[in-house]
Amino acid sequence: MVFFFAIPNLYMLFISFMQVGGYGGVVYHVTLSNYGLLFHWIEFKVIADSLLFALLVTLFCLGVGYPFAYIIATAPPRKKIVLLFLVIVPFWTSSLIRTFAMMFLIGTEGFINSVLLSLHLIHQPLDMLYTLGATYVGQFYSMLPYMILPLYASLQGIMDHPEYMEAARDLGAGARKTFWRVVAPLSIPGIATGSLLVFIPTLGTFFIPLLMGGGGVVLVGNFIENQFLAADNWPFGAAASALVIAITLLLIGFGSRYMNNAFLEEGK
Amino acid sequence: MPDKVMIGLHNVVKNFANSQAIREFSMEIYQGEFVTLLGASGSGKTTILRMIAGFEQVSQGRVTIDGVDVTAVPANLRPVNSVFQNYALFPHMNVFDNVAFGLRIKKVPEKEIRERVRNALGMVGLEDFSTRRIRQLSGGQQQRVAIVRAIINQPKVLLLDEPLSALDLKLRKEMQLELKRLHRELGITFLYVTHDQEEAMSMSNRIGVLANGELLQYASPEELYATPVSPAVAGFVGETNLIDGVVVDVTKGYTIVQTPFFLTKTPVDEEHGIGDSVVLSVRPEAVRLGSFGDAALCRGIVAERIFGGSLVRIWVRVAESLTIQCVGHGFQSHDFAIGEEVDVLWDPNHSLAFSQTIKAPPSRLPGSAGALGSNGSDGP
Repeated sequence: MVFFFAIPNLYMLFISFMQVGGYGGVVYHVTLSNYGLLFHWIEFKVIADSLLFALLVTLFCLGVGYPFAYIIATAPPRKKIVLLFLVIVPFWTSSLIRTFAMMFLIGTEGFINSVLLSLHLIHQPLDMLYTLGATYVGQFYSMLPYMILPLYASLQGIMDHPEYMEAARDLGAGARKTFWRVVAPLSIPGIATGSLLVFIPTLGTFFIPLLMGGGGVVLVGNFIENQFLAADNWPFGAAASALVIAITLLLIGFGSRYMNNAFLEEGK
Repeated sequence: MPDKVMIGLHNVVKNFANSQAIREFSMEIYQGEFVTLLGASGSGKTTILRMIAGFEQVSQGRVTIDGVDVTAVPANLRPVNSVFQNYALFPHMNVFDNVAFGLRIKKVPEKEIRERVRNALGMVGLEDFSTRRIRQLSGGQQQRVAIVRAIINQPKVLLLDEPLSALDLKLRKEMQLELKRLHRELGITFLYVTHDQEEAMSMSNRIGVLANGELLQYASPEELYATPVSPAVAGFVGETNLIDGVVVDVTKGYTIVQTPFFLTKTPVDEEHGIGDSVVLSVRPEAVRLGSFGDAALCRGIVAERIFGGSLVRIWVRVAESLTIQCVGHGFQSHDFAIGEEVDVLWDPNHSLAFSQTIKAPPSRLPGSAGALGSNGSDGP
């Protein structure tokens, strides 16, 4: 842990307070100017865009993942195994390869356009790839299982204690009120865990905007990558990384208050 | 007791995937009664309760509550409330919100809710606990909150599914008294499910004894104890000695029974013909030990003696296949030592004879499987 995690991160933190050399490289003079630069409006916009992107992807995943997780948790055993299998299958392939597969699907000469063209539903290929929309779809697709699994675990825990739902029914609540007043609040740990698992990688993502957005979409991950690999400005990239890590830690600290499963401790 | 039927079960059948849990079950519970369903686990008592609450659908038959057929009414629209075995208090709410849940669903004004919740919590001495989280409460306090959460809705019937099974003995006794008090004060019909015969006896107006999804007997605790209809009920309601015998004569209101070890008589309470096989049932407290000369029914050797404070239990081995259990007050029985030879005697009027349909299990000493006079609280 110390070697692989702490040392690289501390080194980055250290670099973020240094100056960049005239031809790249790092000059060991302490400065805060890298952080000051982050608040220039272009860089600030990249960070704000990234936060919005991560937030919306998280909400999409939650909106689609919750009903799906609910269906799995309430499915009969055999169907449950099939559905869980479908959620886990994507983990067998690298997400990079799955992103390429999606590019093939929605590309100008891709599968969807070919089918639509041959059916004469459209006369020109649709511009789907290399758009912001494609970036959203790609990120949503690659993150969805990370939302579904914790939600499923949480909902399954509630289904395994049917007495809570029975108590709500017994006290006069119909199916809808039982869900909103008992099931949904009890599943907050799953919502918090799933949302963090989606939000954090999405905030730092760089290859999906690069591949699906075609360079037109620049998020903070791409920005950091550019500073390190293209602009050769390590201190500036390190400062941006430090900011992303700070945001992440803040969110984890906030989210972990809702993540404990103390909700289901009682009743046993 | 007013004779208005509050709960009616009419030929109720419940089939599960590959078994019949309840067969042709009929029962009536009057308004204001405290009725207990007593049975071992798997006897179907909880299934009956869940069918009345609406958590299980009946496969056949009808359920009525206060004269209304509720067979097809969903659980949330039935005028009953439940106290669950594990309380099922909502862990994400505090005590107040738990108790207020039912009233909020009914859209009672918030001001009235505050008033009613405070009064209800006051009834069980928890008025200062309304902002506590559920996990900050002790088992007994959770139990009280669960009861208050149910009764605040003024149900026509309160259904209680082994509500005290998670509490220790002392707290259980306390809660039994508290439940009796609430029943008296509220006048609500209570339907209680337990496997603990002592609990059933001490709280109920009437007890329904269940086995294998059938109602064996439905009567007051006194009646059940004095005149059980079968060896199974006799064994379930308290402890008893069961002795096989054959009817040799019927005369002057008594059935004369010959057992392998002695000749005795028992009051006639059902028709037995000469030559019928019967099972004699004698409660341990009816058995007397001592030196009775010719009056003695049989002689045996004290095989085991357990001192239990106010009561002493003694097992007398009469023969390899017959051990008789006797319960007496400590000061009367203290002078029988293990290995001592004693006479055994009981008043014939305190014995019963059942027509023998199933062979009674042979008497055994405590600790061995199927100890004689199996007592309901041995259940799970």
